[in-house]
Amino acid sequence: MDFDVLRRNVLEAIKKTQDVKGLEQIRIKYLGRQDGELIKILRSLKDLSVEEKRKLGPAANFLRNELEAAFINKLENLKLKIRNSQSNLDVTLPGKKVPVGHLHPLTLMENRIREIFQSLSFSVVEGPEVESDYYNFDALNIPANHPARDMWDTFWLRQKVQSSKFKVQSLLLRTHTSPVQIRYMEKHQPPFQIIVPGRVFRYEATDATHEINFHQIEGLMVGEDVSLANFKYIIEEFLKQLFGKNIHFRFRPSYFPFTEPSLEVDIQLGGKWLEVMGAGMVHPKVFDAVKYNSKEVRGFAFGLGLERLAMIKYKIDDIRLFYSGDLRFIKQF
Amino acid sequence: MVFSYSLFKKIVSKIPPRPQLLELLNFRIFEAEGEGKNNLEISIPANRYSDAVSHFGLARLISAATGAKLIDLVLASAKSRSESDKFQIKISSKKQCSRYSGLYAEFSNLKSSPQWLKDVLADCGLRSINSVVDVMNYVMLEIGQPLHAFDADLISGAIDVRLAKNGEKITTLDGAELKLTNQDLLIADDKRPLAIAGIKGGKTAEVNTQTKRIIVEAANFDGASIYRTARRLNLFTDAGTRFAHGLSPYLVERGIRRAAQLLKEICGAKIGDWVDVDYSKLDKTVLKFDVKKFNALTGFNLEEKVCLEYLKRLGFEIKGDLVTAPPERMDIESFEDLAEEIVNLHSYDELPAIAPKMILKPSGQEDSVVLKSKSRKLLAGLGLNEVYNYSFVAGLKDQNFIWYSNNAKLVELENPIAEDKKYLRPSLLLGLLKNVEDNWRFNDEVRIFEIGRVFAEEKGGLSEKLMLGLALGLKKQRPFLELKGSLDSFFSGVGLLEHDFVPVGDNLRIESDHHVLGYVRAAQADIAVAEIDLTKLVSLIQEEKEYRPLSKYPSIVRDLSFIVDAETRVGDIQNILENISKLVEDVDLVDWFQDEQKLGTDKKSLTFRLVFQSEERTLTDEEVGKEMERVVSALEKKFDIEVR
Repeated sequence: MDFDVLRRNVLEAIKKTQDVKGLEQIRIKYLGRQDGELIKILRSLKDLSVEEKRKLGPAANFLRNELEAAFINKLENLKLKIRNSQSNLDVTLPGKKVPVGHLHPLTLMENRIREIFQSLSFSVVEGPEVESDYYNFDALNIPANHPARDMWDTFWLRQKVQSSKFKVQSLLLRTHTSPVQIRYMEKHQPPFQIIVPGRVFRYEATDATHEINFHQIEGLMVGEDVSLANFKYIIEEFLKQLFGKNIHFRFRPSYFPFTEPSLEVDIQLGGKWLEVMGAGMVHPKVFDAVKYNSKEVRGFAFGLGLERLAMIKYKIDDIRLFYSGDLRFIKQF
Repeated sequence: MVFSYSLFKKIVSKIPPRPQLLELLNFRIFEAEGEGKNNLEISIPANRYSDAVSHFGLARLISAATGAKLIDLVLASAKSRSESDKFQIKISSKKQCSRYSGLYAEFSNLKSSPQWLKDVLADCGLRSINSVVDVMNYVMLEIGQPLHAFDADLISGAIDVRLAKNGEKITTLDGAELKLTNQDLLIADDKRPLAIAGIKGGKTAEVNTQTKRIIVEAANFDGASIYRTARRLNLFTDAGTRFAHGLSPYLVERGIRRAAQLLKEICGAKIGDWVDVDYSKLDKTVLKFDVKKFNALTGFNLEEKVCLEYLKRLGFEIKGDLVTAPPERMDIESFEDLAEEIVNLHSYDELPAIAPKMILKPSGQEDSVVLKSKSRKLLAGLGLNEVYNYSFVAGLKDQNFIWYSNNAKLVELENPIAEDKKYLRPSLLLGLLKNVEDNWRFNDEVRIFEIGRVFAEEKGGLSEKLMLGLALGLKKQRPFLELKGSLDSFFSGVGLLEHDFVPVGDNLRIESDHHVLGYVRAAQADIAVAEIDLTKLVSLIQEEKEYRPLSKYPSIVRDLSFIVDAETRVGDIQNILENISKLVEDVDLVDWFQDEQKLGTDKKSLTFRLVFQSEERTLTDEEVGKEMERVVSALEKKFDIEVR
């Protein structure tokens, strides 16, 4: 047979084949080890004269290599096509649900707030949830037997602690994160700026806006020349980053025993003013309690409610949802 | 506290209309609200009862804010004396009572009050009783000094301010009989108690329709003492609340003079002696005002005279740079207090925002804060959802929940808010188990975790720990091994180099470097839980991960299947497989099953995949074959196995 004809036939057949099976049949027909047409020709070469062998041999081998390469090439092509085509896949079907966990909205809110304050050079510290009345009240200029303490409805523990030979201290669930101000200042010297996220407790009836446990973030910046105007700068940066550049906010006079002057911060959302934070300049008696020289240092402190901010930000209308453990709620975040 | 707009109108010149007044109060003075009615609800700070829980006190603040002139009240020009032949006063408990004034008055008959007075009382939530009692209340509303009137004819002997005897009883105006202790302060005559000092009058000398002669009491009592008694008796009256916050003894005198004036005007009374027993020391607070210091503290840039003008309007006496607070301003103790007055009146609107000067210092986070963040991210990545539960629990049936502390007890609240919230949670698992059950109503597969504090009472005191709790509730599967696997990923993710699961009964104890980190257990077949002590974990984590070069030589994988007694623990076998040969790089259980028909009831089939690798050379089949023989014979020595 003419090599050229054979060559044309085989290449034509390869070209026409559309599946792996058909390709394999063609391969067996021409290159099959037993009865492949080209193989038979190659085998018959041994019966030819040396001269003919020299003439046809290389041509036959060349053809064999060429065809084998063509088969492999086509096979690769077909395989690639199969991989790409997936002819029976409906690509419009919905994507498979890959299980992913969701973080609690209060965690997301806290993370965001921590990020913002860390970018403003505040460090993050924490403190215990069970406190003594000294740290929760006395050191913060909230004396015993004064109705000012009634501003914080308190859970008390049955257990008391002996703080010194004569003094028994009452234990309570901290009503705010402010005791950590005292704990931190007892161990560190200014200048510094910290935030303190944490869980706090109030003995009060629960409803859509009140819970017996909730979360606060306390802030404290102390140095030689810290001012109320510095507080305004920091809090403006914070509010802009959290609620967007166009956020409007205002200060109002307020009262906290541990700050002087004291103020309240409101933000405007949807035409309404919402109270979001209490703040002020650290009261000199608080500095006295931690043995700072209140004539030489100044500072501002603030406290904000995490639930309240999360409710505003995510438009949640009932604080109790945060503690429901209901995944239909959690998975929305 | 509630105030009357019509009374403000009488004593504040050019008072703004109600809406503007509310605005003024909120932005220059105190938080206030009230719509459409004739009264205003104003929140008076706890340190301002002495000067501001009165219409006159607030009128002064309002006038200072508007710049209008303050109209003073008309006070009778009575003169006090130290004793009288009509009645006697003594103070036996000077510590609890620093000043006690009595004013004698008589009238022909007890009239009812004029309508305007009744209206003011009603605005403030008080009921009109008779003109004498009404005047007492009205003066309290005006000036802030609580007053009380006794029927002089019903008092026998001297009025004495003394502590009660233990068990002494008093019948109050509303007919309640109360038992007192020797901590409670009384107003008494020679025979009987007349009133619980500063809190409530008694029946004994009550002003009644027959009354012709009265003694008006204006006194100053120790706040803490009144507060203790009110709390113990759970008796909170208007007067008691005012005294509890602390009032200035100066108010006594204003109260008496104003009462004298109004008794004349309204009751047509003839005013007699005013006896004033006064042990109080009115220390005037004199402070130096330094405008530089003010501007440094606030960031404002005000002139000294602007600041002093605000203080002047508030009734402060100014002499050069020395300022003296009005005597009823008990809250003014330091420079910062002056600054607050000025800032409030000047308003926050003009406060500039100034970037603080800071030393460049990297901000940090406590290790536990970092670990919490990292844990949450990892666990969410492993498909677990985060929940927050209450810190309170009803009680504990299973003591094993407090696994981290021996002989620990629950921490009990003195004032629980509900029966099912009597204790602090000793474990996060109580909440998580309930969450699984609750969520099963909507979802067959519940994967959750919580990070929070748990509490226990131990012999030395109280322990508070930071924990991570996990729960997998899979209705149609047994989630134990999934949880165990998640924990493996979790521990390596947070950077714990090694950890072991040590079987303890049906539970696994999680250990690392000889420390117990927590427990894993199947709460029931379809719920698996684990709890980990994060405070401990923090201390065991090696922050730095170190790269180990990938081996240049190929690995050889061999599967080993065998049948073994059903009760043999996989952990024990795995332990041998992992430690028998240096060439074993990794061991995984890839398949296991129990099949009664094929294997019988007491056997199970296990298939392990062993990966052999050397870092020095390419291993040969022969070499690995020899190692496999060693592995099998080691297993055969220890267990009854049959290689398949």
